[in-house]
Amino acid sequence: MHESPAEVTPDDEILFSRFRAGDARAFESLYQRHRSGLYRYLYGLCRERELADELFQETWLSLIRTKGRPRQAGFRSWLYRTARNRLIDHWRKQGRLPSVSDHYDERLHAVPDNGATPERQFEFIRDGDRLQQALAQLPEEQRDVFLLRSHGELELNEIAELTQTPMETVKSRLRYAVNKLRRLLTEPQEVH
Amino acid sequence: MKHDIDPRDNGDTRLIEHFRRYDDVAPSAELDARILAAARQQSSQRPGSFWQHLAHVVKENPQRRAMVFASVAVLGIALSMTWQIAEYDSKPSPVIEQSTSAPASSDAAEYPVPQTRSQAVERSSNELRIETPAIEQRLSRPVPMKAPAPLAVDLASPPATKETEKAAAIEELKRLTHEGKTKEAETLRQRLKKQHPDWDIDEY
Repeated sequence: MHESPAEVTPDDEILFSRFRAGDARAFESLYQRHRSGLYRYLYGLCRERELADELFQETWLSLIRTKGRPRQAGFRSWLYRTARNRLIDHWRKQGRLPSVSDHYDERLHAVPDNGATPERQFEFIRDGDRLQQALAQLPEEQRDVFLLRSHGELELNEIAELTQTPMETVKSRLRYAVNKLRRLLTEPQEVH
Repeated sequence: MKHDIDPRDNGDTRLIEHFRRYDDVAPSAELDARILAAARQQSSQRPGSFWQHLAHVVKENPQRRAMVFASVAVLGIALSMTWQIAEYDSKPSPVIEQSTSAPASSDAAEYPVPQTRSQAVERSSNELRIETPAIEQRLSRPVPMKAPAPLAVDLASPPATKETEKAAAIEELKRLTHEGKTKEAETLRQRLKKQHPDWDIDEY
């Protein structure tokens, strides 16, 4: 299945309305647009393929069967909020508490990263497994924000609203996550 | 596997784009198929699902087909009756029609003259036609007061009226006598005597 470009019209909300009116093809467009991002977000958070499959399916099925409509936040925020809430519910059922603090990690990686300066260029590792390994080393809350930004393509204010976190905290988590990932995924490159 | 970097990029956006591009985790084809099938099934049930279900029932099951037709027939009858009742309620009541038109009619209406068949048909059709403005006009038309029926015993008549009547009768007798109509004068005198034995009218 191929991804549709992000600029393809119509909007998610219009497609969803068409689906609610009985247009199955509208749902296919919507699904193609968000399937990879949502799946990568879920897998990136839970790190289990089977659980990611289950949550991914539950999220889409609840959307298919819902009688509600996305509110002002829009379809994308609605979709990711649904998926995230299901994961949190699953963790709670398992008796697992979400991580509450990653101050130590943030302080550790708060050092300015000079890796992208022209004098000291680095390249990122492309290997998917290495990317996942690097993601796994992020504190959960940083990983959540980074995945919502990268795969969910949500704006910072949308992430703040979705996670019910102050905007400055969201910015801070994203900055620390990027710094750490850059450190983990860069390798020196010879300057020609 | 390595990716060439753009030296103009500050790093953050590039790293995010890098993840979007090279994170190769994806749902399986089976998972895609399950979700899309569920969506297709749901969308087929949404609009017109009742009619689709009805068509299926009518086509497949003869007993249910008969029930469906019977239900439709009952519904039609109920609608027809409701419509007729609504029409009946909107017509003016015959009692009101008669009471409103009677005072305005002449004596000829109270004792209708024989009419031809075509006239009768035309009149009845005009009466059946619902003409709200006509009804309103009739209702707003002033109703002439009929003279009250004479009382059997004239107890309420004031004395002045009785004297006036006597004077008029005497005047009439005088006129007839003066004109030489003695027979008519005598007839009137006898009638007045019979009606009013106390009147002394022999001298006129």
